[in-house]
Amino acid sequence: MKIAIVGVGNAGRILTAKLCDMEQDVVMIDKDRSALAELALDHDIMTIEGGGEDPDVYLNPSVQDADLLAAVTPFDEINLLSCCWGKAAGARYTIARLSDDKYLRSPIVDTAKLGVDLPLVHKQECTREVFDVLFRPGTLEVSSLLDDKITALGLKLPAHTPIAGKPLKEFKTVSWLEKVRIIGRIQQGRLRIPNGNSVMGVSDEIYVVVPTHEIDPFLDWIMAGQRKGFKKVVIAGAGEFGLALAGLLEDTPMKTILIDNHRERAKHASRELTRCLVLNADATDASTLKEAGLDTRTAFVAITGDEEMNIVCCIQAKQFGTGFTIARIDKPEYAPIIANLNLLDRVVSPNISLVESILKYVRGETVEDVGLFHRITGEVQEVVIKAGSKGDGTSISNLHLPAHCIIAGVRRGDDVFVATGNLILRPGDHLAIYSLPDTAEKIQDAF
Amino acid sequence: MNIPSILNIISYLVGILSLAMLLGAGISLYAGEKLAAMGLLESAGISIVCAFVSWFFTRRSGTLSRRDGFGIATFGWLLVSIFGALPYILSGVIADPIPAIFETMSGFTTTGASVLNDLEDLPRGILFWRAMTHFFGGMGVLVLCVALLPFLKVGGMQIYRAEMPGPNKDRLTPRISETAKLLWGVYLLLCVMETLLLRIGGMSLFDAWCHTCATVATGGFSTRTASVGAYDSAYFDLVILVFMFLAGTNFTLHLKLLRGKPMQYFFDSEFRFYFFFWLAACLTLTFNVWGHANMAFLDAMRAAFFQGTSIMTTTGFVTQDFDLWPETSRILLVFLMFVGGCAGSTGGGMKHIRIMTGAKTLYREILLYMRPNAVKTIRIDGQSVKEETIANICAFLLIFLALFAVGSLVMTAFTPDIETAASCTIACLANIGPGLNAVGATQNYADIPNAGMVVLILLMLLGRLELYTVLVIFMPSFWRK
Repeated sequence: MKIAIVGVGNAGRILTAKLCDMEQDVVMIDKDRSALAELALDHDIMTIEGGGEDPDVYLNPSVQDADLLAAVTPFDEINLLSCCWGKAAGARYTIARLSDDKYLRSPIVDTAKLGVDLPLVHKQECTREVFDVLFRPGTLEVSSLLDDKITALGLKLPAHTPIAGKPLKEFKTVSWLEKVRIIGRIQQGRLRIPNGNSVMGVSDEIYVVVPTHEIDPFLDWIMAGQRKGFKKVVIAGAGEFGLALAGLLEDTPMKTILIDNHRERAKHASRELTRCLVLNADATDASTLKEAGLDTRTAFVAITGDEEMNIVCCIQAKQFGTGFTIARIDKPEYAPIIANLNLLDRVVSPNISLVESILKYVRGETVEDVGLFHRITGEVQEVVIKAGSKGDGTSISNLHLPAHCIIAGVRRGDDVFVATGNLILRPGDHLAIYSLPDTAEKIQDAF
Repeated sequence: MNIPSILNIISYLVGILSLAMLLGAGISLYAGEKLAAMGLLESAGISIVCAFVSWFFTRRSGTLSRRDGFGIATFGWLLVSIFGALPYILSGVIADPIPAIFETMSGFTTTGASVLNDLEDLPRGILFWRAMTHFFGGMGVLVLCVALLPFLKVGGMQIYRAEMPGPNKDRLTPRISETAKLLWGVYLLLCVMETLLLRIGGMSLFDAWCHTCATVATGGFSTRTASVGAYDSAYFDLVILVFMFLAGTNFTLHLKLLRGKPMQYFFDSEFRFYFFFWLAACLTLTFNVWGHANMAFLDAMRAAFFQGTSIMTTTGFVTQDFDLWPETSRILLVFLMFVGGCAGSTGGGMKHIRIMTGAKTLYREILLYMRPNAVKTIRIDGQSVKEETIANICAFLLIFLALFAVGSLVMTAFTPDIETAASCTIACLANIGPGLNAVGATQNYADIPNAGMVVLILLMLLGRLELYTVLVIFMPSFWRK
């Protein structure tokens, strides 16, 4: 597939790296000559120097016969124009990153007419992600699969969890482990795919696939009664993300405090929100955090555009006794390092959410959906079994799956099963498969 | 530097070459040359075994880093020249290893400087192998690898950068392996066309192929001692002249022609410069030669245009002994040696784009001396040239001239006179072949002592890989992790 990307920012860089791993033809367009040169040293890509809003750029033959044009600059206007020019030049499909949904809400703007085939509002996706985590206390990460029928959860095992201490296969009689599947676990910083002999330990992080309607009872069981909802959420940063998140929290019983040291932004937030308490103060100040009142039942979300400040805020909030911290990190290189430092409970990155959505389109037919996790490498892919394909009529244990991958669940019609070895696959089955990065590309070959 | 992965790629290079040796052995067998056939077979065997062993032990080596492309290019070319010398040594055509390596390096770098006399008496298999070294070296054996080996990915780009000539490496497609395939496609197409045209003119298919390899690769190895002059045919002269000129042009432009954009040639300022420079030089030669000897105007024109094109595109074919031409023509030919072909062509030398940029920079510096506050951008094809690129080009021109100066100084120890020393240095550095006096049009390099040959081998490699790729090897930091 030939893919033109406009914008060599954080999102553009993650997208390029992912696409090059998938051996796609990538053309990167940006004004920044040195950033292009730097990226071209590490990836086999073509670069075109020029602004996304410059129509001359799109006369390049490599852009004209692109199968996909993804405009991912931080500026909505440039992204819209890029799609517009790209479509006119001959690109087959266009995706625009939009930070605000005002273009989609407006009755007078028709983005399809502008040439945008898929507008992605990454603010919504990212705030939704944070909201999911806050709403399901105890989890580190939530990603829904197979049309929301099943959900992948990441969680840290607390003390006294019933799952720790013996090999997984000895749990056969416990009803929970027949309904869920553990797809990965991190023990002392190393990610492994567990099998029947694995023994879980307290304070391991595990990734589990659970039928969506059974998440809450499952969490109650595994957290051994230590699961309590958050009473309060403190958000640092009243920018567009902070505001959107606070807006979502308005309808929940959780108390919300929004902190921003910019007077106008704080004023604007207080006009937009009704229940939320807005503080015009510096979130890095100890006095501010004291005023907000942090305790173990409080979640602290640092979601400003400044990632270094987000990290500092979260560390400080931890010192003041916050139970759970979430920081927004934009730079792709930072996310895994921060996650390993164990200073923060959760990292969110709007860019990863965005890239995830674009990759869904690129993977094409058999792979329907992709879930990426922030804290662990690897990803969950959805694969559809086609009539007459290699997978049709084969039992799961006879599939020649590559190493380092695990089938998390199967959806047939409206039913969702946890995958067991004897299950015979039928055409139309949707499979959710978790794999480590080096295996991700080989999975499609097995079907 | 990741030595195992470098060796791994080089084993593929040697493997590809051994196939061409087998083909040469077949030709020798067909022609009934037992000794040469055995020599070529043995060389192919040794190469295949060495390539397989080194591939086997390095097959699990890691990925290539940013710097490894330079190592692959430099050591790849050196090793390929050593393995490529085996057929000469084992068949006894050139028994001494150093001249044999010289001949091979001269073939791969498309220089065309030879140590062989009486080419008519040589086995056909060896002549074929000699032509094949040009064929592989012309578009670049590493570029061929990038085209054929799909697993190189980012490494492929580093290798491509290290081998392709010119200051800006054009990318025609998002993926470098596709670009390499396209360029090799154009190269093969030119080869097929020229072979057919020479065949139509009455040259035997074998000679036509050998001369084609030497033309399209801008090499210069002929199958006749008197080079193209031996045929004394205006038709052959014209066909070879046209293809030498095309080989000295940026291959990207040929590709655009094939894609239905013929006018791109004249939209490209380097091509315009190349064309008019060539025309001016050849016309000057014509009038100079015409006035000197009692040649008819058309004869003078034919000789001058052929010789001018042959030297400027760094091919090095000869139809007339230009050492007998007037001094003006002789020095003009030496100037042409420096210039070379266009970026992205198979020609050597400094490249027209660098001369153009260098000249514009000189003009700018003089202007700035007069108006110290002026800000002036250098443009090529209407696009501003990066200051780093300008610095890179100026440094290239300086290093090139410095190597010429130092090389000439060293070569005076091995040659009878200054003219020979200077002309053989530039003839090797710019990958041309014939020089003046003792290495002139009718002479060859057989009389140069082995030590001198080693110097020339290095100069040929430096010229073909465009200095920087080879010079970074001498940086101590290149060897550190």
